Amino acid sequence: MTMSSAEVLSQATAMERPLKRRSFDGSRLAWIILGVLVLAIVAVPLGYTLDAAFRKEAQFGLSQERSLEAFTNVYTTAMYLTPLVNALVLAAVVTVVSLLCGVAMAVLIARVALPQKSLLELLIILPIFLSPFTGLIAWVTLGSQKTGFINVFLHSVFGRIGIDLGPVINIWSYFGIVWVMSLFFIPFAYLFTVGNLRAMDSSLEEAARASGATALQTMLKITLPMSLPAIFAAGLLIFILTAETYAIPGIIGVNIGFTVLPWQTYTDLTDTPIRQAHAAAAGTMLLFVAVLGIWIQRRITRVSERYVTVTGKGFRGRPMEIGAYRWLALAFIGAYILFATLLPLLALGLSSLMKFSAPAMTADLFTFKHYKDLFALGDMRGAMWNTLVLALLSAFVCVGLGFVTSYSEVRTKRMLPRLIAAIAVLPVAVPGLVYAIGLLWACLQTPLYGTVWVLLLAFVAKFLPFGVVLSRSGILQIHPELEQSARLCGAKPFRALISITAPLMKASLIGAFFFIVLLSIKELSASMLLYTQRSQTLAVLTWHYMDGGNYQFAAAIGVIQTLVMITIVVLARQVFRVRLEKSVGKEVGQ
Amino acid sequence: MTISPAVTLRNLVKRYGEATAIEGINLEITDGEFLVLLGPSGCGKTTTLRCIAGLEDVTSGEIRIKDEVVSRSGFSLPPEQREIGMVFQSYAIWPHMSVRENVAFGLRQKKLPRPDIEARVDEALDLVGLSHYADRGASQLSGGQQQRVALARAIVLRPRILLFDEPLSNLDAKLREKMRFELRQLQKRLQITAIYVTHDQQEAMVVADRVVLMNSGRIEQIASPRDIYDRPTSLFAAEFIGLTNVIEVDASAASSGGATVVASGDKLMSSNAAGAMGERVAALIRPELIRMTTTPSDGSNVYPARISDVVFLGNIADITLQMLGQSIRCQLSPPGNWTVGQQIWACLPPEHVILLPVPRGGPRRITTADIQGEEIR
Repeated sequence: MTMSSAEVLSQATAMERPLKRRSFDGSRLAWIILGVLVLAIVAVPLGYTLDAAFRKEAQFGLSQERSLEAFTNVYTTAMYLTPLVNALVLAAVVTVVSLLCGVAMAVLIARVALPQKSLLELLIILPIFLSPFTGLIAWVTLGSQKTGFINVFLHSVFGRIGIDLGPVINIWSYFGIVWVMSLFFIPFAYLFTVGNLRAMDSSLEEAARASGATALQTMLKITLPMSLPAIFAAGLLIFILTAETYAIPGIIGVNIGFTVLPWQTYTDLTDTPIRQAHAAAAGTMLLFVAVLGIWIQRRITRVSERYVTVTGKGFRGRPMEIGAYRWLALAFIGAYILFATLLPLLALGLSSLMKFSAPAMTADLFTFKHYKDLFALGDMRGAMWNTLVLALLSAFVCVGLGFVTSYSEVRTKRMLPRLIAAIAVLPVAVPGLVYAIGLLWACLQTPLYGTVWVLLLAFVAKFLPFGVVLSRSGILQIHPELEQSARLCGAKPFRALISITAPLMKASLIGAFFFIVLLSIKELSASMLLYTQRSQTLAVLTWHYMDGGNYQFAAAIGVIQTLVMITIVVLARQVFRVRLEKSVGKEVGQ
Repeated sequence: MTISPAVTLRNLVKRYGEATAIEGINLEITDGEFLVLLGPSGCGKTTTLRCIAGLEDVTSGEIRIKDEVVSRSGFSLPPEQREIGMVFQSYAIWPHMSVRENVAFGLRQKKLPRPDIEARVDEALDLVGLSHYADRGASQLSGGQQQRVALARAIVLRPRILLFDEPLSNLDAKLREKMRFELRQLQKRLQITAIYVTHDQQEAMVVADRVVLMNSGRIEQIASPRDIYDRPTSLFAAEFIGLTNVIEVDASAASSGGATVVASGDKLMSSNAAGAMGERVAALIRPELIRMTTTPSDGSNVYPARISDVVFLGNIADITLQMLGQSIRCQLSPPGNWTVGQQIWACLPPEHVILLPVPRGGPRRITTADIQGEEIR
């Protein structure tokens, strides 16, 4: 009787068992699979975007022919360069405003004695967890020239004493764009700088006070200069995020003849004649801006971390007392919370209950009809379902892939896993729009086209960096000796991972999961290009009603979306003991 | 028939890319021995320990436990199959488990019956004096208690070898002193082979049967604590362990036991002359072996000296002398009465003067960073 080759092989392995290779080839194979997967998700759509930029426009989409026409048009004509300049200037303005307010609040929360700090913190951060587009709807109802709640309210108040103020606020203006975007980006400026300010050794400030500086002088001459690198890095990140946003400047801009490059890209793809190659070429331009920005931001972050290492081991003394000025500080923070969260939510709620936009409010104006109508619509139910599936799946995949990637990166310290991790975080620099263009072109001929799975691909690519970065920070908090001691107690590597590492990382992973769920629910820039009738999401649906002038429906969906997101934040906090605003703070900033 | 050593390291080399952490170590550890790997940070002692544990692959050479090769180039028996217990510097107590669960973890991996696990956990906790803390959460314990849990967890599996990676460095001074003796007693009671890494020479003196002094990835000297102190074989060993005075002497006459002090031209005799010396030679003497008198005493190596500093330390006086053209430190117990500026006579008894070659690049001075710094991996 002869042995099969498999039997011979298994006998041979049995004899060699004690001398088994430590890193048997299975793990290398796993890394290669992981690498291919990550590369496919991250890089393939980008490749297709590039490819599309060099094709000839056809009547419906792209032709097989190559052409430089789109590329030269985009990079040389005013039709694209003006919107580019518009986008950059707008981004710069919004960044400066956001930094001024966000950093001021970060300094107050991190360094100054204020009452009810943890509540204030949550309220400052809250807009991050809400959809900026919903914020736009809310501010349209609040700040429209004639029918906006604020103008109506002020008019009636001052009208009684015989003063006609005229319209105080007009959201349909350049100012309106800056206002709504800044309200939304201020929490980012806050979040990206508050950690650095907290880590600062307070004895540095105390030394300044002891040398005769007042509280304000200390803040301006010691505290702020020391966190300047962090502030600058935060600013660049906000700049990039602003430059690629198109929903808010687009919707307002259309009405006032103002166009930014992302919006131009969007119209190229959606308005006839469809000009996909031009959109793709414009996408590459957006990509350059973002990549350059991120590159500078990374360099600065590295510098700012050096600052922190020098001073970071500091002792945290008492927060600074600023006496009666604290009421001024509270008023400032309060005003922000009012404008960014309370008023919009109130307006959204009110508006969703109104039969139509009306300048005066009467009891018979209110109705629940919109909600009833909405849930009767197949569109709405489908969108709810799609949003849920997409959010859960993309969070699951991103956290899963992110954990495996960063785990092998941190623990093995080998070339291949490190390379994979480096690739997996690249999409941070890629605007969602650019991914969408590539995916659109890549999936056109496949059965994926028009399904939610295309959206899932875009979401996973866009949010994978958060999965990697957030789980990496979790892993770094776990001393490797905890796993090694499990190995010495007889646990196999996988066992050690399951029994020791995974339970200890639970909080980080759950935090990352919920954060990505939130990002997915409000994702708009890629969804807008990739959805079809079958694959609408809540965010897309809101856009539709907004675009069609049906603000009440849009507001109602906004309310539903907001409720879902607040539920998630509360759920994470109460059930899983994960404070999203804490767990995502610093890591996301990098 | 000879009994094979508990652990054998043969030509062990470990490189990280360009950097070499261990440069060819040969070592045999006998059964039941308490061996200490001692050295400044970056000397490779922790890397050696981690190679024995199977936490690092070796670049070349081999490690045997008893007769079994556990590590060699390209092969490494996974740590979980080595039957080794290890106490980590960070203790590595799993914060999400109770004390009992921490200690029982390894037994559960072996799928032992429940009653056996209970009994052995109780026994181990009893040994380290933590019986009352079994059901506490591990994160509620103090540093010293965590250390004991780590110890219990390491011994409960009845390993062939116990490894300690600077286990006491995170404890406060008082507790550290106490634990040294406890660790040693426990090891002797269990008759287990122990390998212990530390940068603290006093700790090494207390616990070790044998000290392996390491420097830059190599072994400087292997000896009992007493021998390594009394008869250092290198300038590095003499300077790393305890205090020593280094007097540079003329190399030409060194091999015969007589030498000329370079700085002052005085004759210095030694009865411990070693064989061949290099280009440069140093004469060493421990501060407590110098005798001080107010009048010139008989015998050789008696020199006039001036007291430049006196520090009273309770049981001893630490005195700095200016003699032989340099500063010489001297420790007296009982302290006696000495004043700064006093002219005295100092005797460096020839039997305590050791002549050693000075390695190229001059004597390597031990800095506080060496002693306090953490091991860099």
